[in-house]
Amino acid sequence: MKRRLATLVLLLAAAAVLFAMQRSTPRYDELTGPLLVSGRMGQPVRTRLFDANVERVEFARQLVYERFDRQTVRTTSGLWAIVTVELSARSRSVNVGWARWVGPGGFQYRLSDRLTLAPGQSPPAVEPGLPRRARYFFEIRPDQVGGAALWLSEQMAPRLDSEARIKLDALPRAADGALDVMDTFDMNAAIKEQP
Amino acid sequence: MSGRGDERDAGEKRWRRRSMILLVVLLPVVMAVTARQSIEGWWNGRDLIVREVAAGDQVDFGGARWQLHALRMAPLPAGGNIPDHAMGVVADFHVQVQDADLPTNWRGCTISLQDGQGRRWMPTHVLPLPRSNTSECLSAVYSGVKAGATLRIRQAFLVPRAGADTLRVTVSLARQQPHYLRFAQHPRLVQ
Repeated sequence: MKRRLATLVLLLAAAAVLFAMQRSTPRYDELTGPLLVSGRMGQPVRTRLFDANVERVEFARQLVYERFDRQTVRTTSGLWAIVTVELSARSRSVNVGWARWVGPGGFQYRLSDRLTLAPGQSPPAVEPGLPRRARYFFEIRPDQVGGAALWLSEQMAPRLDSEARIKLDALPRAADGALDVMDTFDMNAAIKEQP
Repeated sequence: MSGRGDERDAGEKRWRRRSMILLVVLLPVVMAVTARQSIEGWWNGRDLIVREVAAGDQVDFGGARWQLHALRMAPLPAGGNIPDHAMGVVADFHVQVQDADLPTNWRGCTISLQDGQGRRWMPTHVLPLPRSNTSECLSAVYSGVKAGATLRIRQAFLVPRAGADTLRVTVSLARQQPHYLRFAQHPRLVQ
């Protein structure tokens, strides 16, 4: 009787261990997913292909730009978030074209596709030895501002390759501590002052 | 009784030893068989073995005869997409096509600049180049060119001014990897 009980306990323990192993096995896409390189604003973050240093974050209620001699205004019911990053390539030319604003609630915002004809919106090509500035534009909900992060990579979903995840922790604040939001951000003027 | 038991023990021991030896042999064999495709993919997907080409020489590569006709550079003023201290480099090739199946032979055609530390500069499109009868390597693939014709291939690069005169051009084709070409001549400064 005792022996049978021991066998039963052993079987149950084995089943529990197997169940735990099955539930905790990482999925294939987790095993081969991006290799995270974390950092914060003002610090260079070194990935395999590029170094990224987030210089500043700005917010605006509308963007203006000129295209084909016509001024275009892009308004939003949320906020425009403009992230200025200094990029430098390491071993080869690289397009740092995938950027996401990840808010505190886990909301992920891709680069805005409402600016396809705006100046300077092609993926920033970075050459070794020639660091340059790039600006990324996101249209976000106002409650996704604090505690957000910028995710940067060459490809959409890097596999076994590094992805920069930079904490956006130095936001522009007015004297009273409120978020500093510009009425208008002029994209053409920003391009002129760029490199 | 015990004699038969000793015999059985000796047999078990023998088989255990054989199994261990087989494990040592079979494990690497199985690993090699399963990883073969990945290893081949790694070996054939990289520029690993360089073929040096002397200045002015022609070389047969991927069903064509390649010659670096000119390699020129000029400093660029900063502004727009051009960062500070940038140099524009333009590589011109004359390529005589021997096998007209360019979509196969020139798949993954990449012309790049390389420095002494192995850094690579890929072609850029930010340089304002005058119109010409040249084409880029990849766009020439579907030009429908016949065997015997000569293609003019031009690629532009954006590199830092410091050390620009030491760079060298490389040509890489997916079908020829891990072999690739590296031309000896350095960029010549023009104004």
